[in-house]
Amino acid sequence: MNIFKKLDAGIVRDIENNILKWIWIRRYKTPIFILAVLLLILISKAPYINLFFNSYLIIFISAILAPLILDIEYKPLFTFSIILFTLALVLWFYDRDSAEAITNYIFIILFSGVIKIIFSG
Amino acid sequence: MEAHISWLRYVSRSTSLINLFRLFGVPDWYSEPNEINQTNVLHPYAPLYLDNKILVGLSFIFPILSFASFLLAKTKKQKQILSIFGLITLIEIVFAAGSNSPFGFFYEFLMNNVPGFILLRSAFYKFGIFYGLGVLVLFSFSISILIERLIEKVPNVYGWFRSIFLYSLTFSILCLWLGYHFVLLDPTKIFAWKSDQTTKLQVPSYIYDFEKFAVENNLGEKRVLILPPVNKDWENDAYDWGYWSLSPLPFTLSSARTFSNWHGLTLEELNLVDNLYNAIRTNDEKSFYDQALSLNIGYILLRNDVLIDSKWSASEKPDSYKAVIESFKNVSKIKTFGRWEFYQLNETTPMQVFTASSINITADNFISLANKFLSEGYTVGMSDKKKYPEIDDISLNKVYAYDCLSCLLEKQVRLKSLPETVVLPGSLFYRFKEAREQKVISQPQDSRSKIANFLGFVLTRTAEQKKMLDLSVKEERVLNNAGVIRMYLGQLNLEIESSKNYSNDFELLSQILDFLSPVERAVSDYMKTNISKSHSHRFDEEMLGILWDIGKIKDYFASLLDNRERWSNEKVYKLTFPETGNYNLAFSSNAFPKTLGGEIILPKQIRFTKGSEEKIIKVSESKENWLSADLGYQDKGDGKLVLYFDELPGLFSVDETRVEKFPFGNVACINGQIKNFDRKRAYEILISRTDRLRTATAILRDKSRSYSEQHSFLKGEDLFEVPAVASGEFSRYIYFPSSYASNISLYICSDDKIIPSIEKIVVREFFSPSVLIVNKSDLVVQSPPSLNYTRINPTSYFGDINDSNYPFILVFDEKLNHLWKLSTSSRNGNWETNNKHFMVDGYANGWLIEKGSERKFKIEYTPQTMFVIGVVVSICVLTFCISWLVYSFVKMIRRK
Repeated sequence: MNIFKKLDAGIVRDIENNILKWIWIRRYKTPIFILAVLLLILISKAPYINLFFNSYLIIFISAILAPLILDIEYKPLFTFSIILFTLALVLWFYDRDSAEAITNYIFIILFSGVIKIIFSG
Repeated sequence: MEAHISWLRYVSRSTSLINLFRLFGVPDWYSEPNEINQTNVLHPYAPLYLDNKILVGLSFIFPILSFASFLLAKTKKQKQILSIFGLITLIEIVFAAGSNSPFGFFYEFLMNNVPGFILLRSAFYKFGIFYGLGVLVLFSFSISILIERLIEKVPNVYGWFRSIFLYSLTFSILCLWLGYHFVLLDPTKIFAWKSDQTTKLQVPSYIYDFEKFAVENNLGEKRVLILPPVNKDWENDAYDWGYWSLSPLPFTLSSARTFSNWHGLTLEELNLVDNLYNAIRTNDEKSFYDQALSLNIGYILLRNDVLIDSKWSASEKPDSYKAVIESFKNVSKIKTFGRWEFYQLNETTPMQVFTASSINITADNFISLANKFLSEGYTVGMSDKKKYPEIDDISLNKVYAYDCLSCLLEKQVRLKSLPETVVLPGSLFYRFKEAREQKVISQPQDSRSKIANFLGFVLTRTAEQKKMLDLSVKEERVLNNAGVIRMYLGQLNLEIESSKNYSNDFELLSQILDFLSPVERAVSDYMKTNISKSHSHRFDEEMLGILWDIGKIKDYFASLLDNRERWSNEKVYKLTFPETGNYNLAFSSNAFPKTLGGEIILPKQIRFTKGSEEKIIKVSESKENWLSADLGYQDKGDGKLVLYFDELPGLFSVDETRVEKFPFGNVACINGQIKNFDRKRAYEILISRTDRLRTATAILRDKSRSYSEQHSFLKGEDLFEVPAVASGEFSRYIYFPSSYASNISLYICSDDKIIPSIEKIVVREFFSPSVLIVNKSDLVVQSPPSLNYTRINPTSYFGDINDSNYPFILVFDEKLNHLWKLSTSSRNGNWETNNKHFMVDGYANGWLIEKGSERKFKIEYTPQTMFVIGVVVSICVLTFCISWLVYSFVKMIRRK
């Protein structure tokens, strides 16, 4: 019980507050983004379009839309991609396929980051 | 297109995003596809960078530092510039990756659909450089900012301490960069191409002597034949002093117009070159001389320094060619350049531009065959005749070529499996598909188009049926779809039975088998499975109904399908006589099969039927390697020709039985060599195997060839599964050897160490000779008008033609290119461009010229004019820039 008494709940509260604040500011944008992704999934199933659409492409387009619609900053995206690059470096020595798969998703993050910078002027 | 896509896939095998991000991906660094070790161990330095853990770890610094630049950028300007280069980097990485995942489908789509995109088939080499440019800017920015920030942290103690630190740090980074690329400093590695070849070599002086001689003696007037031919499989030119290239050396280093079997030729042109080389090989001086004259060959260059080490890229030995050409009476040696010997063909006049008063006409794809048959005259394709009908006025022979129709039933069905399908019945979007089907069906069409449409729909619907069954979709939907398939099959049957002529139509039957065989296979395979038993009785009835309907369609063609084996000895042709006239029939005897002794097997009987008339035709050898017969006067209409052959000799007997190594273990195989093997011929392999419990695989391989440098598992040129059949029946496979196949043996292997149980194996030649019918017109051949010309330079010819009272053809003996323009001077002295430009003899340029008085002509390669204009503009711009610089400099000096 002493352990809980010593626990500083302030940090948890701050994180919760920040997340809530983030969601509250974007409370109208989140459904728009979900709607856009659903629309994208719907289009991807349409005849002929389905011939060249795959799950990777859906994630790719969604990831480009995400920072634009949800107003995500570009810095966390590049930071995240660098962390993933480091993870890919470690994985490369154990499981090359996994490292390659991670890099494919790093590409998506980098692309959405670059698009975000361009659009934010 | 398939070959280009294959090349793209080959080049892109190593261009995964992770490799490209680390600045790797050069195809040469990586092993062949499907090799266990991905590194090309024969590469002089690839294993260092790909396998050394420290260097691999360092390679990740490039992408990390490059993309960290976006975090280091502070000002808006920096961010803008970086975002542009970042976008270039990321877009180019997609293109540089080519067909590699995850965007490979996009690149292949562009290859298939964007005109001209095929030029970019080596994706890595075309786009990698732009990717490099982008990533280099990002990387340099990060390094620059990092240095700046580090310098700011250093105290500026004596005023010079910070500067010293800056230079030391920059120098250290440069050293680190060079240290990582240490192979650049090692000449033994950086100039090494393969383990035994280098990119740095000294070209012997005699090559330059030859080049000088070619310029001084104006050898461009006539072509120079290169001996021995370049390597036939790789089409490369290799020398024992180290040169290796896909471009023949005399072509690259001299101005002479060389002639060889290099890769830049079309199939038609390659045939011409092969014929010429074959004439030398068989010591046939007359044939060689005639062909050399018609191809405007005036010289022979014999190279004694070609690579003849019997390895993969080696040439043939020059000695045998030397002995033959020195025995020719019309060839004499004129000079020796070191290890190169130069010969001249006696008494030949330059014939690069000449006239012809008559031509032969044939189908575009049979020009070389027609040229072999009609040794006199020049041949023009049927498509050019349609474009310029005036050509008909000077046509002497019209040659119509026909392929064997019954041979279509001997070949394997073209569609091996059902097509891919995504949208299935029941889906919201399936309405679009159904609407399209209904629209196609409701359109008024001829009977053959309707049949083709129904066949397509049956195939697609069956693919959907299979996918629905795989996905365990509700039975009701599957039943509905089966009903639609049966409805289409019923309508197809009605359409076929509405015409009496279809029952003997080989082409239609072949088309039906192509489409319905995969359907039949898919349905019967499913009905054999245990899952099919879990369906309702109605499901069974509908699925079996599909098979029954297909059987009914096949029954209609019983006259062609019963005793189908007979088509290997009975060849049926449909001959169309487009106009009345006297016709001759001809076959190339080389297209017929051979006995074990190497003699040609001729047909035992040839029967010709037209209308109610039926006659037996006797053929005779009218000229070497050609059999011909007179068909007499024929009205316009169709005829049927049947060639009957005796049973062909078997070319296979079992030589040995042994255990072979496979990746999944050791298995027992029987093998034997195909007798009298010839890579230019095809082989029919018939195997009777009734054992349904075990599988068997057939492999066709050359015993003397090593198929891998890494392992010795049993591999071959071709491989196929041998299905089990009923007793007395055979499974068939048609083997088309690759261009490099030789001494092929057939292996039949089981899946364990027990010898495969095979009742009978028959290997015989598969042949489908083409037949020519020749209609000779009553044209009185006039002698063509004479002409004189001067070769001003390789892109410009000038001359005059004498008067002519009839139209004629001016032939320019250079590879056809529509950028060559012919202009003739009219009476008032104006130059007029002649636009009636077409292909002659399958490779040369020809223009149809109307009758008229004496006139001048010029032939020019139009891009040369653009080149000259470009040079003049460049010189003007350069002069202006230099003048401006000088002017500014002088102005600045005066101001000071």
